[in-house]
Amino acid sequence: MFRKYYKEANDSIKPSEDFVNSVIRDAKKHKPPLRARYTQYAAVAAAAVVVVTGAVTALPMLQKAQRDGGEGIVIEERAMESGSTAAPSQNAVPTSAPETAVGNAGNTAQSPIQEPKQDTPNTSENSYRVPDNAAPPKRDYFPTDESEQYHGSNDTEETESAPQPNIQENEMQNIDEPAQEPEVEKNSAEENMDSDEGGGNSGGSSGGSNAKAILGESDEVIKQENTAPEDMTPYSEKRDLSGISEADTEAIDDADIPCPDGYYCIDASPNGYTFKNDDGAVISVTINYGGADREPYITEEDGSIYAVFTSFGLSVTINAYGADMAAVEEIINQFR
Amino acid sequence: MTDKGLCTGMTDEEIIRAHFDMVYRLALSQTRNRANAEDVTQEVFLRFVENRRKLTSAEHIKAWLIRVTINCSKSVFMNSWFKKTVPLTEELTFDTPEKSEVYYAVQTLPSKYRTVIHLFYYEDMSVEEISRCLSMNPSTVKSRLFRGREMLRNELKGGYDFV
Repeated sequence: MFRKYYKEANDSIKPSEDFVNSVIRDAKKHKPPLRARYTQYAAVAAAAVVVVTGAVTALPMLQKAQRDGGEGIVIEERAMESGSTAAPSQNAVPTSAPETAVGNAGNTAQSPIQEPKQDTPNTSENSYRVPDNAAPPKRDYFPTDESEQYHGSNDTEETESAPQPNIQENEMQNIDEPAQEPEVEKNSAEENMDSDEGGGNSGGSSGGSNAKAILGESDEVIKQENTAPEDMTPYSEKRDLSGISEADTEAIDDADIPCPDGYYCIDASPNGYTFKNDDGAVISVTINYGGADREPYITEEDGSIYAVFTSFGLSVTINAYGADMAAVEEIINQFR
Repeated sequence: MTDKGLCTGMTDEEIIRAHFDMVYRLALSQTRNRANAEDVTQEVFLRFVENRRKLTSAEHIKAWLIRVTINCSKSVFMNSWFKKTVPLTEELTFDTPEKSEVYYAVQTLPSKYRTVIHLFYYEDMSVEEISRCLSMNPSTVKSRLFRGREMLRNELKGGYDFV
């Protein structure tokens, strides 16, 4: 009896036909299943996976390249192009000794993309090149021309690129590139000399030399300015100071950097030096403008020594072939 | 909507129409409100369209619809909107007083007893079917049926037999 009445009561309850149709209509145009909606994000997800995978794969390689002090991937490309058997990221040393002094002076016209390839000392052919991406001869380590020593002494941003200290390189560049960038920079440096900016804002030698030129201050004042920061200035600055103060009295030869014991300088350029001893051992020093200071990283293998470090904003790379470790350490200590 | 069911041989629209009254009445039994029952019904069939590929047989579809209807009805009561509002009391009218008396007596039962009573007496489902559909032990279904009948006897005070 209960079942009968309850069934009849429920049977009398009917939804309206409009409601039924509306539900069916909504069901027809309902959104697709979730898994179907995921497909539209498949391409984005795949791209994200590729990017993340690439980053994870490349990260250790980049870190290793940075630890080795090179330019990362650029060095690796260089090694592959030069046919070197050992990758620079593995701290391998080049197999051939440095030979030429002014190797790629004309390559300064290369595009910036190609320039980093000239930077590392790992090529077998031009083992000693003037790196194109190396810092332009901003700081005059070895001023050889009196007329350029003045420019080298200016420490402002414009005049840092002005000096052309190496006569040999200047000549080579003049042959390869008639219209050169250093000429313009030199002119700009001279203009800066006449301006009021160069004199007082930069300390050390530059301030002193400009002050001398413009304000006509006495030599004593200049000497005080030059000697005051000497103890706290890096080696490169000291070289500047010495070049300026002694430029008028004595000529600076190529072996201006203190040679290691038993070695003599066979080549000097704004971006490095090459030392050699009587036994045939060769030490090649390449100087770039680097970043933060970094402790020397020295590897020795098969009679070759490879060292890289950054000190006082200078990134120094040393390749020694047949040389002893003491000589390399002596050079390192001179920079640090 | 033109897709044929995998084993039923019916289109989705035909399945919806076939089970529409069952879902609506069960929803009304659970929510005791027409508006809520309509919302529940619409939600159930939207879910059905989304999940129709998973349903393999007519029995499976019916059990699935009942389960989803009960779940959706519970979600109505869990809604914060429902907690903050009082639904309008609406009286369903029946042609005989017995129908009305029996129907509203069932509506006074707690939800868990109301569900098994509805499935047992209106859908003519056995204890085993109810236990499978609600995913509970058959003995639990039996005990709820027994207690539901006892409450109905006290409520109806009439000579209804609960066969």
